[in-house]
Amino acid sequence: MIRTIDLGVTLGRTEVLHDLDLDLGAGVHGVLGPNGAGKTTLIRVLATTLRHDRGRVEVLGRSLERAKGTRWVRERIGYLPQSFGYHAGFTAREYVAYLAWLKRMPAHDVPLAVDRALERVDLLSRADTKLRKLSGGMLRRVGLAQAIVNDPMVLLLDEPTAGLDPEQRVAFRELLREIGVDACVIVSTHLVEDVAHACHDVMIMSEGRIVLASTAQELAALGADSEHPGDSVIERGYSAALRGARPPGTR
Amino acid sequence: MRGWLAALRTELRHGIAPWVLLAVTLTVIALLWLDHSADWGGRWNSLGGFMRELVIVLGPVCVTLGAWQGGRGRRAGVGELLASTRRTVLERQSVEIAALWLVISAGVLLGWASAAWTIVLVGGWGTSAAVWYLLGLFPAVLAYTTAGYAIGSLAPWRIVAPVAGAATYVGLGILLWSSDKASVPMGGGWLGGTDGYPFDLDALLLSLGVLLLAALALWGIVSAERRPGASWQWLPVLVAGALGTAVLAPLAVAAADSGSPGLRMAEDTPLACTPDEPEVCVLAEDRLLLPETTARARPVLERLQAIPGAPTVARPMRESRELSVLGVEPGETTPWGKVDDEWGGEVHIGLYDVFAPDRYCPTGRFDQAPRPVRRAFRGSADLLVSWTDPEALDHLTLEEWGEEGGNGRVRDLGARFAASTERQRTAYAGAVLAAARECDIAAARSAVDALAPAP
Repeated sequence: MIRTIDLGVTLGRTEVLHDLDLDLGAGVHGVLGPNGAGKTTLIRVLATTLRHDRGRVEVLGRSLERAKGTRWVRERIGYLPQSFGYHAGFTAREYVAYLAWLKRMPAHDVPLAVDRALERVDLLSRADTKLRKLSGGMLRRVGLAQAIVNDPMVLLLDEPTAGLDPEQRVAFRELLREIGVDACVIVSTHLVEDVAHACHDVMIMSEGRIVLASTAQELAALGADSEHPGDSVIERGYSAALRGARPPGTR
Repeated sequence: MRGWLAALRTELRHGIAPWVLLAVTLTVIALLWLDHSADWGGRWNSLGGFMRELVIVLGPVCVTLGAWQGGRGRRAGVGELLASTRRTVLERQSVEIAALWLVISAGVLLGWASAAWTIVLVGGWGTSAAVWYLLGLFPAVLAYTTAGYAIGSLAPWRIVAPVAGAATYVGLGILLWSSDKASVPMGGGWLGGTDGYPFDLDALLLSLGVLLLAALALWGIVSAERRPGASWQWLPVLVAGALGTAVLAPLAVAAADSGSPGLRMAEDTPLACTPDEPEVCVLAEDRLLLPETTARARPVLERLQAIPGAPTVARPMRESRELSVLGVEPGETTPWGKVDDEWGGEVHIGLYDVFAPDRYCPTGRFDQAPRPVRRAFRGSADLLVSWTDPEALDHLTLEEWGEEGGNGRVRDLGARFAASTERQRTAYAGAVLAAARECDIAAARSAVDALAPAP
């Protein structure tokens, strides 16, 4: 569903992504990495909000180098940016419906799809509450609802669990697994635990490159006998992978 | 279409729309009832002036609201999310602009509704031309809203909206009241100006076209999509707006400048007249002003009765040279005449041409006479207007003619006329009128010389 070949992005004078090769199908794919690793840049390129400078990117078989392909893709993806902006005067239902309109969903499908999306993020009871009155966690769930309202074939989530309480995070992981059965879900996060519990496979990025691509189980195995920092085996596996990617002599 | 309507409905319900509706309605009602309630009783020229004031007030309001709305997305930080969606920036923004336009227009309509009952009370709407005055405001509102939206998109900070509104108010105020020509492309010139530009539908349409296209061009520039895979949908808008503005602006100014054809009245223009003598008529669309016009015209007609060849009825002037026509200055009673706030939209009788030799003389003949003679002839014509119509605008009183009326010759004439008996004045008026009709300069001089010597 997603394929990149030698993907490169330069912002200003900084080369943010270096020759990334990806080939992702249905499932939940976690993207881990420290700040500045290029996770958000990768998500933004796939979400069609940032143009790549080098290489090729195909989403759902359409090239993002072409305007027509990009527009086609936009109707079929869901995207929750790291910073989720909203119009405070809109209700949750109205805002999700507004995004559905922007995604060019058929008008007669929108009301049902909006209710379904809100129900999936457990917000149907607050559907007619204005966004300014919702808590940070609820707003994040509204963001998730708008991302899935069109039943996207590709779902791109940048730090989706920020602000969610533990119970909500558990429900969220469950939702990701459900969506990932048919769709390609990419979750960029700092929270290694989310990846361990929700993702089929994981990519660890550092300085614009993928330094490890494995399953969550393999990452956990990497940390099983490791003495690298971390409170769980998967965190230690993550630390080990990052350390292994760094040149000798650096911390 | 359903989706568009749903998006529009959401904007109308939860944007700034409800507050806008309230503010605009109250503003219009306040302007209407504080200063212009009488205009709806048939003073269509003054109503035109009111529309002009509405542009001055509503234009900045539209710019302010548009700028606020235009900056909303960037202030809320939704740009990244919206950039990932299929619809273009133009599609999204057009809904926001349409919502504002609708709600401002609704506010104006509600304000007008408050005046509608006075129209019903006085017995009718009056004239179809007035409808143009009213409808012309809505494209102007759209243009200013769009321009404001473009400004807000470019500079989303909160302070920008009120500053842009205030700047528009100052700019419009200066343009509208200082120069009719400059104000035409701003949507103001079509209302008629203090220099007497008449209402002209061509100028109206052209100026609104200029305004709309300029706003669209500005919108196109600032809304140009720079996201990956963007469509170039905005480009035709930008090109059309820029080209249209460049082509239409000079035409609009020229159309407003050459407005005199608007004063011509067709021969079959229906009139509303008094049933009794002496007859006083106004244009049928100004029938609500007939009683007031009659009250002003009859004393003048009674004074003219004794002068052979003088007008015997008061009618709106046509482009004819019928001596029986007493001009009711169209500028003061018809929508295509000039708006003059100084005169408060009152009915005035225009006798200016009745005694004037310029009106009757073949082209060039009067101008060949020596300048002092021409001035004396014109002075005597004006003097007679002061006598027959003491309330004539811009005219000296009979006493003032003897003290400060023009050059020494005219002053002397004024003094002699003031000292004359009523019979002598009537004879003098008849002699001047006869001389004017014949374009006989010598006869006019004889009439002046024959007037009683100064006391």
